[in-house]
Amino acid sequence: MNHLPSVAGPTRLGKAAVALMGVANVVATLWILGLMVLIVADILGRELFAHPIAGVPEMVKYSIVGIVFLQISHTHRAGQMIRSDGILGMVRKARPRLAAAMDLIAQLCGAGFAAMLCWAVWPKAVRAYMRGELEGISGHFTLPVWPFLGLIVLGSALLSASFLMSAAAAVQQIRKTS
Amino acid sequence: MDPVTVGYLSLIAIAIAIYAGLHVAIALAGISLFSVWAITGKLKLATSFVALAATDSIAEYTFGVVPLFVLMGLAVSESGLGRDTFAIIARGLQRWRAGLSVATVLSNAVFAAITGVSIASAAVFSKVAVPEMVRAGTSRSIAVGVVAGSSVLGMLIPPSLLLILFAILTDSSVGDLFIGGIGPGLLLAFAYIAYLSILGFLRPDLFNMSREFESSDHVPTRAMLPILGLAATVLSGIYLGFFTPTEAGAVGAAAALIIGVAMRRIGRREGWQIAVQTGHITAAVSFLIIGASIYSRMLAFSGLPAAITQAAIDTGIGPTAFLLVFAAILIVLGTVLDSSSIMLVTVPLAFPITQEMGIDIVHFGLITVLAVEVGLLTPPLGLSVFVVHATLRDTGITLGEVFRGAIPFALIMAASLIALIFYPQIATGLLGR
Repeated sequence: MNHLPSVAGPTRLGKAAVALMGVANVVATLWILGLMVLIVADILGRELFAHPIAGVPEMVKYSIVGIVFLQISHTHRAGQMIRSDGILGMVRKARPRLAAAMDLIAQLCGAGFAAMLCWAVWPKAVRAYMRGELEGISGHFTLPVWPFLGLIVLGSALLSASFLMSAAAAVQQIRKTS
Repeated sequence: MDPVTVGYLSLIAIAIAIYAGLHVAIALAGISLFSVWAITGKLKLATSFVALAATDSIAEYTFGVVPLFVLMGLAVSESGLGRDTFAIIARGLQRWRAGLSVATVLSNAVFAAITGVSIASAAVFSKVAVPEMVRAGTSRSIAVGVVAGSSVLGMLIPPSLLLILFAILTDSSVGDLFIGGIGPGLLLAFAYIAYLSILGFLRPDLFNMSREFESSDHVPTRAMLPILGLAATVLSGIYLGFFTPTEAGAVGAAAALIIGVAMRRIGRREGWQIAVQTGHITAAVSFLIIGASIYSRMLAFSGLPAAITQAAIDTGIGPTAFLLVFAAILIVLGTVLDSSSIMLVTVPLAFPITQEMGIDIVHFGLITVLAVEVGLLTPPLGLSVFVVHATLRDTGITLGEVFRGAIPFALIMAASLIALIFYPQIATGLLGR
């Protein structure tokens, strides 16, 4: 379940990235448990004491974004990001090198897309921070938007790094089988 | 370039990319990026289009259901409630020939009412029910077939992850879809039971139950209470309006964890693993949804759904015929692709057509889920069959044996699907539509 392929390699940068993904995973996991406690507390407060917690819907809304982007690189490292690798598996049996090459292409596409996302969201995060953009109902409950955009930037950067590591592993695979 | 042409090309490109093993979310989002670029000719516009979709598509309150229902399902599996349910129901049905197989179907149905993932059911019951059935003299091919076949009930009987996904894709009510899932789920369970009973009557040699057979487990009947209480709390809470489906997930997850801890089946290590696993599934599914939302916005931008809808109406095809064709396409796709990818790619295209034809959204949703789930049992790639096989690998069973065992159940599913297409009331009846 927690098996991580050791593609971090010997490089210090790779190890640091994997460690960072691990930290992000722990934060996101605690966040899910916190979300559960928060919602249950809100229901109990509302039904038993007629006293709901302010801003739970807003918090849930943005929590999901935070959880997903913090968790996605660790998910990819654990090989749980969804792909239909059925045909890939069949090719691997007959032509292992071709399969490794296909995997390399897939990982590079992922790295490219995640990097693009990071690059495209970054200016939005900066702008939200500069202008102090808020979400929620003014006077009732508000929370700043920039931390969430920041998490998207961080999460997609880590995801891109994770894709690149898998791409490197695929290159090794191609060399080994030749 | 002509937007509609770009739309068609993007469909072909996405199909190739997914079959070639690209991560589904990346294939959907990446190709949509290029399509918007091709339509507008401006890269900057395309990237900010994607960035906007990535930031706002999952920032929705209803998305809270995904991690919470997954957490609940995993906590329930870990606390061994599935094993208890099977032991108790099996004891009750001992005197019935094929009783153990029927017990597998029934306990799957009960288990499905608290977990939304078919794979969880397949893993739990291949460990619990298959050895018990084989020990009692049931033919091995039937034993594995029953487990693989009835695992699909997990996605039909609410709560169900696929129904949540469908509700998000079409912006419809999760609660309505959940209620709509009850009818088809029960229909399928009864069809399985009828098949097994008739088979037990015609071919008693396949079940060969010895008279003195006693269930090996001595689980007290009151061990059923946690699982029934959990299902009752969650479902009645939603329908009576104490809490929303999102909140029901939180209540169910908390209750399942508390039960697991109280029964000393979930310790600190198991609890943490469940939470991490929940995070992985949530991230994987939500990232798919981000990809799908970028894709469906790109489609709307290209005008392809409108063009396809017009083309479908112009052929003069009726709603029933359309649904039959759609279900057939899904089953074919399901032989290779996984359930969620198929839904993400096809539903945004077919949904406008069904609206134009006046097909009930709940009816359409259940047909989609049932058709997609047939793919879990069909070669070359049936996920449920793989899970059953992987769990039982030490017993020396072959993949082909599991696939052969699952064939009758896949056929029963197809028959139920056809019944559902012709009689929408199976799904919509409980909603009073």
